[in-house]
Amino acid sequence: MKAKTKLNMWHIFLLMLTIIFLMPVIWMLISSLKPEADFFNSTLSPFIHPPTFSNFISVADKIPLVRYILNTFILAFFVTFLKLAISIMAAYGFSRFEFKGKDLIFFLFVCTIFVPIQTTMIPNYLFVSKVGWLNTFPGLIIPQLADAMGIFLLRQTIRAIPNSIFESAIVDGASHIQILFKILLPIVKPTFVALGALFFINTWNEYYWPLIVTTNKSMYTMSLALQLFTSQEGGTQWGAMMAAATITALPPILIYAFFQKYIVSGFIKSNMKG
Amino acid sequence: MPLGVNVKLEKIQKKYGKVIALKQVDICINAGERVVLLGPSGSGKTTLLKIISGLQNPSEGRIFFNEKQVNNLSPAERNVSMVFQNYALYPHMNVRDNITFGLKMRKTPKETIKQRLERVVNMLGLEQLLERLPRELSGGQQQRVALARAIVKESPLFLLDEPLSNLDAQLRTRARVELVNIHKQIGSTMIYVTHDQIEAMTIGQRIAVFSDGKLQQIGSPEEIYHRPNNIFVAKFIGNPPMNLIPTKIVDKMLKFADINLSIPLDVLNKIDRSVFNNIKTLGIRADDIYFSNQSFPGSFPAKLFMREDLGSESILYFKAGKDLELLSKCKFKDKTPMDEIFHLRFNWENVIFFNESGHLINNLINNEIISIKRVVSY
Repeated sequence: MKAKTKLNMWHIFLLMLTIIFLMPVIWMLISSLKPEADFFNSTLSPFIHPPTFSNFISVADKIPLVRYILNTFILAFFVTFLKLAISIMAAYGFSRFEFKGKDLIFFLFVCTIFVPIQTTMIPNYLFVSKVGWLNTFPGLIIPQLADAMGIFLLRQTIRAIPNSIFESAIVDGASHIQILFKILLPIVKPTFVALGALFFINTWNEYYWPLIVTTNKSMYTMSLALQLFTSQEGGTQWGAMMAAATITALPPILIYAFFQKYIVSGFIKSNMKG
Repeated sequence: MPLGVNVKLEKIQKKYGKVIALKQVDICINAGERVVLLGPSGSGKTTLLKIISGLQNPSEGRIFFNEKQVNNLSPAERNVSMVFQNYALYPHMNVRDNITFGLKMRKTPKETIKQRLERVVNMLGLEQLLERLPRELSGGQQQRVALARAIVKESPLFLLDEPLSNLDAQLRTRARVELVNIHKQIGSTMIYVTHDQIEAMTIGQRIAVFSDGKLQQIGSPEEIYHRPNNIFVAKFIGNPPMNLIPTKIVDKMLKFADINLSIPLDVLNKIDRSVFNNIKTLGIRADDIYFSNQSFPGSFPAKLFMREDLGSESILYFKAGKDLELLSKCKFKDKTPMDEIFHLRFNWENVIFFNESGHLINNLINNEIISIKRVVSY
């Protein structure tokens, strides 16, 4: 009996936490369905009567929505793809090859995880502008590839795989590329997929770097597009803004929901059981 | 079926930084032979196997397969197959893909793959398991798949790194017999690493004993058991280990503990006088110490203080002189009253001697290995 009460207490506590976490999201959703006039009612009612999609229509009127979604998608896709490719190869190298200075190089790589983006922003900006990449996809993508998180996580996962599996593949006559694709990738798939989902979500949500490299509105990403709804003329369209925010938040949420199984297992347990 | 390759190792040396893992190892293995590398953990036997396979390179020394130097060839080019201690099955592939992966990597024609798969699957009784993943198999089944994966390649050199050590005792006994049978069928040269001396005795046609990165002795199981090259091998091989008695010969008498034992004349006559002073240790197996409750000429008293019953036989622990422990054996059903004085005598035929540095003295009789042929009759 006692244990049960304790469990229920925990559930209540977790439920409250969930509500607190979800509050802004729910608020955003509800607001996006409210008519503009309801925003400044004196009562804060979470209920909407009747819900309207007019905000979503006005988003499409105000900004080139398809273009921005496409921009964001291209950015997120390439950053994810390239980061995964670099991470798996570097992690394989760091865990399977012996070379001089390996530990030092790896240490330096890991150190970059702790360098805040604000400190690298300006040198990166100078570099990108020097090579003429402002307002281009290479300018948006390439500086974001320098991220050791994936290398670190994959290396840890690879180290949990018994050495003999790789040795066995070598004896079987597999090349490094074959080992990478036919042995390593299938084994680390949960971590790999989870990492990809996180890379995608993070890049999709990225705000600072696109803000710095893009001045041309046609290169905006969704997170930048959101600021177009706050205007200096005093007429911020809250309804449209919430609708745009909902559209922006939807892909990451869907991706997380879809890959949740991998994300949880990929980071919690090693997949080498049995 | 493949014919075995002959393997020659010449002055193989392996260093990890300052640590020397293998010291000047020279071994010649004949085509089709079953050789066991035996030694305690850390003795360098697995390192040597990896050097033969090409997974590791020696720091010095040369490796020949059929007189051709292979130092610079990859494991695939050396055409070896290998079974690992933890089986190293690819966890994401089913049994069929695990077995055929090596053949696919070598671009073997599909038809050939099919035939060989069928043959090996029949040989090891894996028909029902082909679609299973490794994690759905028992330890014994995983071990058979690992064997199948190595056999299917039909390579002339078959390397096994403690392949049975993850099995339970019952399965291990069966697998030992199976392995020898399989080897007879495939005919490749087989090099087998183990720390288990029973495995070594039953599987090896020759056994190479390693310790501290050095080859201590290579020879047939019988040689290793009865004529150990040095005290390490004498202690390491056999259960119970060989009795090693600190001794010296003074005035034609064998002196050990506080016992003076006269050496039978015909034995004495066969020992070269010049090595008398070198003799420091006498070695004799428990099987070669006889006991009786009556005193004979040439016997000495000892007190029985412990008995270990092993089912079919028992090991008896005697104390002779002040504190010399001697082990003998008797049938399980024999009665041996504890704490009584018995009279022990040696089977002189199987007595061997070691010198100060612990090496077998093998120049006792005309440079032959000491072997005093006739039993001394009492």
